[in-house]
Amino acid sequence: MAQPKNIPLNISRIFELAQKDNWVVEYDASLDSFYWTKPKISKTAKLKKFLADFSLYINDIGKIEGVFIEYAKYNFAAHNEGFDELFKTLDDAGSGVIIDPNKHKEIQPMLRNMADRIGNETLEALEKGLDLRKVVLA
Amino acid sequence: MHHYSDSFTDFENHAVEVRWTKKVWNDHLNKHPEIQSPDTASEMIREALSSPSLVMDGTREGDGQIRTRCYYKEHKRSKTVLYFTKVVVGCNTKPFYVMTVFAQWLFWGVVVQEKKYKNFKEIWRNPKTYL
Repeated sequence: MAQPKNIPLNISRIFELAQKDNWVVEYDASLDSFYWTKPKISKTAKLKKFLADFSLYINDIGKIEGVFIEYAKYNFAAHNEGFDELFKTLDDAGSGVIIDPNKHKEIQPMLRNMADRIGNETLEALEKGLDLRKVVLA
Repeated sequence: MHHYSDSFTDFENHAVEVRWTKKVWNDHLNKHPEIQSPDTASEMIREALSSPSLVMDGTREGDGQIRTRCYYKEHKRSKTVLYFTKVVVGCNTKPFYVMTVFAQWLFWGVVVQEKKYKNFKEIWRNPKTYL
């Protein structure tokens, strides 16, 4: 991805942040909801949506604690290439089962792809006038 | 025995229940800490169901089986962001049942997710909402 300007480091490097903080993955089949988050989300974290498909958990000091996708398998993955294997793994694990990406290396390229998309889409949103300072302060 | 249970009536007088085990409650509390307690969660649900700002009805694309209704309650907005509660209800059985409740901040230029998908349609809108 392009080198971003004026983006907090943890938005442009979500994959590395997730590895550092041991984020886990969970799929809720009844809601078709996908979560890739810290194992324990802070009470100060708020769910904020400034991109078309991704919502981010952002805490009170502006640190990202997770990614949330609604209608993940049947809409997002169905309309975006490259995520089929991720949802196959999550389906195999079972609804509501927490997956540690460090123990499922096969899903890591898809998580990196997702992180890169978030970074790139954030860059596009910034070019259209998004103010990340206001995102953090909201 | 349910850890969190309550009953509600939506704006069309449909009965809606929540019956969550301790595991389901704890999972939701971790993902959506703003629900805080059963009392707070019930207040969020009750307000969204009884006086929604926007209601979207639909089936899940792909299997078309799970009928859901999404109640949005707009709480406040500024020039750049809008804050709302969302309650997703399963309505393939009666009474309807609460599947999730959470709060979210939506920034201008981004629409609620259901508006992007043809398998959802708007069935109610408060004319004052910006959702």
